[in-house]
Amino acid sequence: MRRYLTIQLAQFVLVIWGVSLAVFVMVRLTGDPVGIMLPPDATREQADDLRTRLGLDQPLPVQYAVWIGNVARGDFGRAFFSGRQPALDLILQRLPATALLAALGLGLSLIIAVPLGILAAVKRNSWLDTAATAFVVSGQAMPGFWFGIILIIVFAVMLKWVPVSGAGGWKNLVLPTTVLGLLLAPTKMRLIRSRMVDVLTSDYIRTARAKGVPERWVLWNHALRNVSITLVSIVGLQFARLMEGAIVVETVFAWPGLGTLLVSSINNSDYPIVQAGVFVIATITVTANLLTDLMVAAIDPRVRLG
Amino acid sequence: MLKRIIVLPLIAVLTACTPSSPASPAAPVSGTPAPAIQTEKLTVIQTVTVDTLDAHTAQRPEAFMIVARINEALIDRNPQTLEFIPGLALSWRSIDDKTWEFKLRPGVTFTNGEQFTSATVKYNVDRIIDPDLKAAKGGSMRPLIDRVETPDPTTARIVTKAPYAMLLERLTSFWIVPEQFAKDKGPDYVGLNPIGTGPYKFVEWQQGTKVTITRNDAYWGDKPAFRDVIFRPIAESSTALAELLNGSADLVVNLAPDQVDTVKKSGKLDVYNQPSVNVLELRMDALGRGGPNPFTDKRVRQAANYAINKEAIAATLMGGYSKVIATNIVPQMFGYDDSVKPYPFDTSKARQLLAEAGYPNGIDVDFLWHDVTGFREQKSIGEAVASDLGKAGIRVKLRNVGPTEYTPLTQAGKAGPIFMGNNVNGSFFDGGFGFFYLRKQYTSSYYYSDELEAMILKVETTLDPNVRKQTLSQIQKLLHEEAPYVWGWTGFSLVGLNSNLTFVASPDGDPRVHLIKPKR
Repeated sequence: MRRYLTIQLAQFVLVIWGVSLAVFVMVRLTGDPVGIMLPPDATREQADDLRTRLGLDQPLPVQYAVWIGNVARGDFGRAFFSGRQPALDLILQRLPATALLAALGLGLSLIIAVPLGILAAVKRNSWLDTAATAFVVSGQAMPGFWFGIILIIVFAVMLKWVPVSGAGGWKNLVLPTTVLGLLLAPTKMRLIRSRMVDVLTSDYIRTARAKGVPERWVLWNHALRNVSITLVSIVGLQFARLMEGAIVVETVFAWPGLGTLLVSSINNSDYPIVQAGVFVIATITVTANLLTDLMVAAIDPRVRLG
Repeated sequence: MLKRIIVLPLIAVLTACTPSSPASPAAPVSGTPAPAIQTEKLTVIQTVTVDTLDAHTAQRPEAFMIVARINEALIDRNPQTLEFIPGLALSWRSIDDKTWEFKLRPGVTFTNGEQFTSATVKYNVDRIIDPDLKAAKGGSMRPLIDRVETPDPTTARIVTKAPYAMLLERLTSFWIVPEQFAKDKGPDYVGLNPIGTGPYKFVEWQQGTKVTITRNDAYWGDKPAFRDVIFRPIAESSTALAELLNGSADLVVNLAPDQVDTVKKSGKLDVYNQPSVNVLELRMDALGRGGPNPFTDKRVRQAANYAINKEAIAATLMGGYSKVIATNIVPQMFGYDDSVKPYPFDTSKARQLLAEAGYPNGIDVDFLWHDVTGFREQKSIGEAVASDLGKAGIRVKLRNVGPTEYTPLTQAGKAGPIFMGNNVNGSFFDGGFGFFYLRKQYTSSYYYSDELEAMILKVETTLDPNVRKQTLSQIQKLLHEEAPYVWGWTGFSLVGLNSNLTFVASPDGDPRVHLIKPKR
């Protein structure tokens, strides 16, 4: 296990470094931010002066070295706008709101997907299985953006059961969580059902049933344990989708999380925030994948033994 | 039994799901007055986030509409007639052709206790022209201002380096910040915690959630009707509209044209069109900055103007709220000459001009465009323009860039040969402000001429309004003939508002929330 952990950590560091390089290069490919930072009537001399002060006149490798050195100290620079606050501070201020939404969305998706997936597998080829499949297909085909607007119209504007948007009390979380959970549930459900069907038709399950083990015991103690590995992997693999979904949901519902900050920063070409935000999200995603791998290895010894 | 288990809950669900009738004020019982509209809170939805609340470095209209409630300028403006009215200056006069004297309003205090005096004016002018601050208007003010004299605490004299006719116009958006506060705290802090003398004072800025201001009960002028105003940023226009329909927002700025019908049909909301002085146009590389190109020939530039069905674009893609322009001096501006008419749509005329210029088979060029704040349908307009140009023989290849690419490309002379641009005249209603990118000193200029420059200088330095008006008319005729741009369309700002509120629409796009009152 120690060897496995060492390899995973080494890969983690390598991936983070690769992410930093990708973020740095991609942001610079979008153009020169100096024009955005200066008022329209700025002269070329002012632009050159600012470029020098920001170090943007240096060769790219030098800029990267300076940037990564600052990043290692937690300094992602100051936002061009938003009151010129430190970019990382702004990211960290908004992160909890996104984490809350993501956690609730993930939780809801599991509450929906796990029982449905199991039921569909146990009652496969029945009308329940068909209904579950229909749910999966429609869920995957439906744009989250559109679905969110529909929910707003029905539940906020027409029925006035919940607020339209923004943050406030628990009611503000209902619609965004519902959209996010329903966006993520179909894929999970499909994979759980598929894995469950494989497990339920395997030899050891057939043996357990032949020995007269109660069906409930077969399901909970034998089948589900094997499916749990798949579930952990799915959650890890879907983490990136979770962040993507959170960004879309936050935009629709004006939820003051990382998603709305990043979208407005991209529109405003506020580079330091975009760099910091993408780097933080990428780091969290890679960390989540690492933790997933470690959990799977902990559950399934076949993984860590190669 | 089974039927009952299914049907009863279904009936309950259907009953619960039956839409309630739209919210409406309770009909008054005979003899009972209608319930008063609450004046505790006004909620304003903005579709773009605020950049900063520092009055001198803010660049966005969304910031201005907040800053202008907290901070005040020497000169204010009547929102409907656009006439200058006293702000922090009670009166002003020209002492000589380079000196304006302002009699300041006595006894005005900032909300942190600092006194407003002539020294404050001097500090603010110095601050705005300080190159280190990178103030939004600093670059254009710096060459104009010589010094500020303060003969006594209630008199300030602004001395320009040369006669400058548009100083008063500039001062209408020159908001005043407290000197000691700005010096002690620095611009970053001021941008997050503004202090002023205005009808409202700052409460908080929850990033990404809201900016809250509250009534300044020590304000020298008329107190606003609403105690608190909350500005909420909601980028998604459908969500913003839902907030308005739901009644949880009172005003939405920058509605999309296709949302107007929905707002009007609600029966409880009004829509106001605030025609803007900002214009959308296509610029052409008349100087050949990016290398030889067909648009160095005036006939090709005129052909581009004839080729586009601008009226159709205004009627369809802009919902009929925009107007086609003849030049970038628009009707609301001083000096507008209505005898200069927009180019008519005439594809055959365009082809004829191209042939005369030596392009009987047309031309193939790149067309650069990017998203411009204030013009929501930018992409559709670009595509419609490209299509019209193609039919006239100006075959364009659309190339979309982001703002960080666009600005350096335009400054380097590489945005041409034809590209989308806008003239942000902002809140200036003097035609003398319409030539920003038509002058040699600006790196983003793709056309200038000695003749034009001489006339612009005359407009800037002559104080006689009749002479200025005549010169502006000559400029418009010249620009129309020379066609450095494909003259496009005016901007507009649609505001959706609770019908129970009064609203003063203004061409500067400022919703002036301090003037909003419940209707009696």
